[in-house]
Amino acid sequence: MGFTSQDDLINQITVNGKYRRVDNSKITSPAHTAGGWHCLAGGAGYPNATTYPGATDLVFTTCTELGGDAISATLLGLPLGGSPGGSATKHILSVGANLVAAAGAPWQAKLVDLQAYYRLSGANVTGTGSRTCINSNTFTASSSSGLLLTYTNDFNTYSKVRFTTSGTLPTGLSLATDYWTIRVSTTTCRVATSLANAIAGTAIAFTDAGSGTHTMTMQMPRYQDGVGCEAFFVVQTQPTAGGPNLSASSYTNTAGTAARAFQGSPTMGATADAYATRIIHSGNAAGRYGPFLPRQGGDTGIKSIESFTWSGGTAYTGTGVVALCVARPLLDLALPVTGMWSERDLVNQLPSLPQVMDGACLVWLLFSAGATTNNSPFNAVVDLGWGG
Amino acid sequence: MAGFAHVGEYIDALENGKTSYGQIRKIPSQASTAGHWVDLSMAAGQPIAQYYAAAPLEAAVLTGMRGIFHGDDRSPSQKHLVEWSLMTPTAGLVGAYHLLDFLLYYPFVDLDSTDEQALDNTVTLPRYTTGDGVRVMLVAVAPTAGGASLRFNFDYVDQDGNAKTAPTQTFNATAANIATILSSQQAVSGGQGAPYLLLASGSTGVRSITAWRNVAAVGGLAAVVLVKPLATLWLPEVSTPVELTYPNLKPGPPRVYDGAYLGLIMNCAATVAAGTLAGHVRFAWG
Repeated sequence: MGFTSQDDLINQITVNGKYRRVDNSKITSPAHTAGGWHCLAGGAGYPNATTYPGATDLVFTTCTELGGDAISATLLGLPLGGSPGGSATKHILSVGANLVAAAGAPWQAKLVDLQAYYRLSGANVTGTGSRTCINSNTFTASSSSGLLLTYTNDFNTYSKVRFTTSGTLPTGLSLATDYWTIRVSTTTCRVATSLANAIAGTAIAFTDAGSGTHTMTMQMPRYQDGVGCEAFFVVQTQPTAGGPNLSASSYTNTAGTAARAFQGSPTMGATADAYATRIIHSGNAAGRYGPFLPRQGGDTGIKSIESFTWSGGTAYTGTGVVALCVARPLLDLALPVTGMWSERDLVNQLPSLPQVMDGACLVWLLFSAGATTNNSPFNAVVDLGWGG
Repeated sequence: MAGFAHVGEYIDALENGKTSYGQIRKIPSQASTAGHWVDLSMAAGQPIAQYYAAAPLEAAVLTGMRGIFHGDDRSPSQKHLVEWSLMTPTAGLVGAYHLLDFLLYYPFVDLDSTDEQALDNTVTLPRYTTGDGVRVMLVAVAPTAGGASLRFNFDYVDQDGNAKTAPTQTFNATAANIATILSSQQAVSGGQGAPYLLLASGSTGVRSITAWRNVAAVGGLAAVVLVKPLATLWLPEVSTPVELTYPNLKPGPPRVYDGAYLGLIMNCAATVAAGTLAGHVRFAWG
């Protein structure tokens, strides 16, 4: 639970110590071109830059603050701490940030909870055919210190998953129920009934392997069926040249309707606007959208992305790396001028108290109205409290 | 009871004199460069300056009563910052300020040497003892020459007791005077531009630092300081006081532990030498 009253808020913070201040910093590197959105997760600073790691392209990679496995070589979000699994809910009490740059003001900072990404490299960046995202694997069940699942792709630890089968699921697993993975190797995991149990290593015991063909499907880790979630492409490594269009796409919306499409055939940025950290379909020119890809009318979120096609325009060349990210926006902060510390009180000034889910991977997006000087520091503070 | 069980109890604390008041007046004498962060605990004034003077490389703590005054120990009650203000007539002192609890420091780290320097941890963190939320500053205590692409890293124990090595980081590229934070220069290739040093993935704080390495020496001496950031205030212009009160203007009155040494760092707009900073702090307990 959150806070039942102002009295409860001050009690939880001061008597129970349920308060945390998180300082973080990022660098605008390389320089930002005017009118573009950027995802600062890939920028240097604290926490460390992510490389959107992944052994296999297009695999659904769950993002959490917890990291710490072979795939999450870097911690993606703000290190929040806190104990998942309790009845308390964490909320942002206030947030402040500034950016010091010789040029580029004003800016807009947007805090998002990064749910997952699909990594693209090689021909998945340069090609013009349809790319199929991997959201599920079939698996077999066996016994190894509990119920062990064996499959093909390397899914991140602490991924939230659901199971289906053509026969009977292994004892301990149920249909239409959330579970969390405990990664064992690149092709195996154990399963827990909650995120807290997964962190504690408390796995479901092995009783039998079930029957038929079983399938494990990735879920958005913190927003059921991706409610409120948005998608964007961000560059990790700059392609050499090009600028294709998102000519086709297919995603499943929060209601479970498949074959939905992102709208407007967004144009991916040419090389000059396709540098590391840049959300490549954002910008001032026609056909640009940012920071998020326009969802199909009536959709309230993204449950999963099945495929997309970059064609038309000019195909990228070189050895670029791009991540297709899914994130839930939490709050916005205007940074009008260089150096100015902008702060928003989310209790008294704008009483929204955005909830930060257990395991949240908080990441800053930044819009640069003008060309922003290279190596300019972005510093931010997030104050959190929790009740319960 | 520790803390405030409800808003009324907070008001009662104010009405019943359960408050303490501290005055701030700082007159830095050391020049600094625009955009660098500066440690004002080393500046003259009220409270008096401190110089991170103790046995080299051996962890030491500062005495709380010599920092920004927050009154006597109040345990088992909890003291909270409920109000503070700052004002300056000096252009160089315009910018962002952080109020910190200075927890521990390692004096006289040699920035001329590229040998590994082992740090003595006989003295441990007096507050925030797990290290969760504790950050690291590198403060010049003798002028450094600066230079492009000069780098360092360090080994530390994180909040969970794990041994970690911080990412290799860049010193300020230009010469830095005493009291300058040596990782804070902005618009430097590969630089951090932030007051706190970068930590390895998975770290939410630092319990102790075990070794320091200059990959390429920058010259001078520095103190490595473990701090807990408590509050932020921004002075937008000269001669305009800025005041922040909790919880009506900002939720979450930061807790100040008994014995805390409170001090300020700031992101200067120009040299702070011969400038003046004035302000106050007020604390309350339930």
